[in-house]
Amino acid sequence: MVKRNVHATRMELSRLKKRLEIAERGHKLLKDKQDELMRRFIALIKKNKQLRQKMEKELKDTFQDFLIAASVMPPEMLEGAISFPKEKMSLEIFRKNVMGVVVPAMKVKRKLADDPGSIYPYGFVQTAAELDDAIAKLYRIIPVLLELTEVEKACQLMADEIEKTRRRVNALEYRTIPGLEETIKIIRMKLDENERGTITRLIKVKDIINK
Amino acid sequence: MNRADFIQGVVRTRVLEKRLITKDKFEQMINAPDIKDVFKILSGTEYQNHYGKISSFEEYEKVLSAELKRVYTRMREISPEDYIIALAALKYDFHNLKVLLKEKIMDTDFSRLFIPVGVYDFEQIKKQRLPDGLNGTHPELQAIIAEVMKDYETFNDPQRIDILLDRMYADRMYDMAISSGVPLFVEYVKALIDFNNFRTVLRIQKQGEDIKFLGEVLLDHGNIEKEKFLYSFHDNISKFLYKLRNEKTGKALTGGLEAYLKTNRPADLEKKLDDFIMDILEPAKYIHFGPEPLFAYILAKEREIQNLRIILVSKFNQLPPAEIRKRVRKIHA
Repeated sequence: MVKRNVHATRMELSRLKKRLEIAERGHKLLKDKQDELMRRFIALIKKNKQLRQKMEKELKDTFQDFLIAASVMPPEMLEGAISFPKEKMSLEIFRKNVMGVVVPAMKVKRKLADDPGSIYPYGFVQTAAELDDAIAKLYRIIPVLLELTEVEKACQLMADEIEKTRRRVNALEYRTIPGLEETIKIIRMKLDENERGTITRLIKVKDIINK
Repeated sequence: MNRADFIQGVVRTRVLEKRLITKDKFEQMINAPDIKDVFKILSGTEYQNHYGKISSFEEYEKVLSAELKRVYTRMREISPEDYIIALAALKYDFHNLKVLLKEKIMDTDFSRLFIPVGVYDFEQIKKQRLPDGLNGTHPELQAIIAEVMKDYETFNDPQRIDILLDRMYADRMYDMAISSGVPLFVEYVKALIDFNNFRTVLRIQKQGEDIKFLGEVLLDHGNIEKEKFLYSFHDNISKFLYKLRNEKTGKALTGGLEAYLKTNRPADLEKKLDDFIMDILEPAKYIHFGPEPLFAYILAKEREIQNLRIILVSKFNQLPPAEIRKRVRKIHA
């Protein structure tokens, strides 16, 4: 931002110097923030990949068990068995601040947490044992699924924040700071020119008086 | 019971038995490259009559349900006594009762979950005011529904609906087998209860439930007393196997448990137990006068449908033939 139409005064110079100082400090801070965000973002991306692989593997196993249960039980019996859940689950959502980015954090709560069998809402005569395994695995996946949701959302929000920070850093680095430096340089040159003009005028006046 | 009354029924059943899918045909289906080829192999069988009901191979379940319904209708015509079919269809009646009660408590429409092969017409029953509306038509169902609903009001636990109805199902099945006076039926029911109790012990241990809960879910009337299972709950596997070895169904149970221990897959245990049930029905092949062949045919047909479901589900999910072969049950051939 080259400001050529500013008043070339000492007051303006000192105001711009102050602005330059703030801009340089802001640039350094934002650059640090961007670096830290990138570092955390890369860590989150790695975690996201691990969680997704883990979840996909566990879901595959669960579907395998469901598949076996579905193949040995008529579909009406399978659906009837799980149609009326015994357990009630609730989800608590919190906010977490990561480098100024508000990301979600979730926690699942079971109403019948003390009863290990509360996730199985059916009897034992008309259901296959694989159904127990499938349900148990599905229940075990829930925390992983929630963590993955958290991490994916955090990645998304952090990517937005990195983008915003990058724009700010670039704006400061390539527009604001060079613009201010140039304006300061122009004002300084103008002030120097004025000063030289004043000195020359004074010498001239002194010469006239001496003559 | 006059065994001579079953002569015609047995002869007709023997004809139907010839139409059961053979082991070779099952093997062809297992090796078939996809579900389309399984349907091609099935086209020479009784299942072909239901092909018109489906528009794509994914709707295979409609073919299986239609065939099950057809078998029960045909056997009701053939059988001179109703109790034979009622004994085989009892599981569907109790399944339908579970659906009916869940539907009523949850105030949701579960019409698609009824299996219309039981003795009772649940589409009619669900139109009645429950349980009092059944007083004149089905007092036995009224008593069951009233008891389960009362229990639900007290404990508010949906699992207890299934547990109570499972226990009533076992009691009813046992009473029917005893009143039929057919030793094979009694042996079948007792073995079924033993196997169920055995599976339940293993499932409860895996679920992390306690012995008190096990006491509530174990069924009466098996060859092995309930107490024996309860006392063995905390035993290690080898002690459990030792205790079971002299029981009537001990050989099957120990065989099943060994298979389970090898792979840690409950499917292997269930397959062994299902195969043993077919062995119990084996003598029905050599009985020419009596209700046994009719009952054995229904169960054989159910087993055939179960095997087809295993093959079709597996083909649909592209499982390799070796995996399918492990799951397919023994047939009544």
